[in-house]
Amino acid sequence: MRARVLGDLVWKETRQIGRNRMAMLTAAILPFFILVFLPVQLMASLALGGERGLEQLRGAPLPGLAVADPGELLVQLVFPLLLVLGGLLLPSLMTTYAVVAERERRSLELLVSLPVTVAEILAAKLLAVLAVTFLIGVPYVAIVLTLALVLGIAGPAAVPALVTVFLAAVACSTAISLLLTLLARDFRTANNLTGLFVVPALLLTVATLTAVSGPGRTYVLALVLLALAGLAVFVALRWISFERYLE
Amino acid sequence: MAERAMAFDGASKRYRNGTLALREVSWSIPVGARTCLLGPNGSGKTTSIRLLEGALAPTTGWVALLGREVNAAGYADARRRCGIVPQQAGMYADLTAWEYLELARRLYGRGDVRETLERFGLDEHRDKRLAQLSGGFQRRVLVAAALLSEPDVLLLDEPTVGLDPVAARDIHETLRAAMAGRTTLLCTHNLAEAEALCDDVIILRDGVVLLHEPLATLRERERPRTRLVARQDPAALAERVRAHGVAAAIEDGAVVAAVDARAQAPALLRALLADGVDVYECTPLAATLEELFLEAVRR
Repeated sequence: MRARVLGDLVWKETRQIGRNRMAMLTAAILPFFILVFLPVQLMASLALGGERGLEQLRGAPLPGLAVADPGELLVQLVFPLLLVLGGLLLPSLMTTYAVVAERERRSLELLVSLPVTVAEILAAKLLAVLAVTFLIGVPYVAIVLTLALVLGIAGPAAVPALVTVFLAAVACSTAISLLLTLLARDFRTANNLTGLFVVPALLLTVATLTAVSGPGRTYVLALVLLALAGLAVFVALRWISFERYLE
Repeated sequence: MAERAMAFDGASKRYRNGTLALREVSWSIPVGARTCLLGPNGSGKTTSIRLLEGALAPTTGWVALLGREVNAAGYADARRRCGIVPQQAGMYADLTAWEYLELARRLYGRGDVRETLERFGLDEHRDKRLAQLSGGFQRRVLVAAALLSEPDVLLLDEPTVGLDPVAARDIHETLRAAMAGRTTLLCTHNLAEAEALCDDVIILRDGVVLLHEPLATLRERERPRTRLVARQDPAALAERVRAHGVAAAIEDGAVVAAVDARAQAPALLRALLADGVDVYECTPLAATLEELFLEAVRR
């Protein structure tokens, strides 16, 4: 794969994604609720003394929820879950617009006629999706983590763990997006497949967070998500050829 | 032997769904040739183009462009010397004509977008999104992108399909000028287009090469035919023609006799007139490429 060609294709992709207001709006609003609104609301509730809900949650019979401090409950369980959900959704929404739309409207022919390979086209699309994901997602995560630090809800050690989980979720979603690009021919199929892939990933997240105890659980969760990403890439490359993208 | 611009050697392509689109085809085009690739739907034309552009890999055999095996070392450089006009591509609603040509310039590594826009009369439309352009201008942008880098080889996949006659003629004129001195492979359903723009023909059917020869040779092989019209009805004329040992068929109120107009028709005419048949029209018939194509496909 040639770096210069990838750069040129990413230039084209980011221009197109940036111009698609509806795609940008959808990709920005839903993750905003998940990555900013919900955590801020929970932190505000905690800071203002509304701990009752969190206390109830702490009393639930699941082993992973046996956390003594409500603030710790947020940092160890709720934030990772929200970061994974946001990290999974952001690239998926972008990919649907960047990749599946191109396939659906047959503009892919325009790209294939230029001196590029299909692998370079796909890689550039995923890189552009990642770039926009970070452009939107990183400020959201930074706002929440800064607020958590300022309010004393999260300690300095929790920040790298939560950032790692978010990045792992983005990597997982991007890998899943690669599968999507090869499987989905239209928006409808893409949305169905997104649900099909995101829901098991979320269940796996909840299972990991509740099954693993201790402050290292977020790193374990990151490893699980990265393993899932590796599996998705392996399946995409091993069983589904890039030719499928052109069919 | 002339240097080969494109070559297929025992190349087959089987898709994942089991369809065998090409069956061990072998053909090559020398540098400078203008060849058309003809064939009915599903004959393997687009698969051939896709193999040459490196988007697909052959299942068996190999395919080469400008002496470089597709997707092997050196192919990327060969690919940058090749301009491609894709078949009925969808157009971007979020990329302008200038931006698409600029992308092509970057990827080919050479070319002048401003000069190309002027040359193809796209100056006024440079800032319009591709999807907003008319069909004719959209096709012009595609041809401009293919020619931007002054390539040595042109692959044209149905360049005028879906265009109105005026726009098609406009593209034909552009292509005729662009093809001068360039190796060209024109994939088309439009036989008149092929005849107007190409010198050689490759006919594919069911993934097999039925025929690959110069159009002139194909014409030499065509059976001589002469159209005869008489005052008598065509059935009577045909009967008299057959009586002189010449095959005859009635077509559109006239009789088509299997004789060479120059070498055999005078004697036949004398004999018919002596028989009292009032022949008043005698026209040598040249088969159209469509007829030659249909004959080859039926063979």
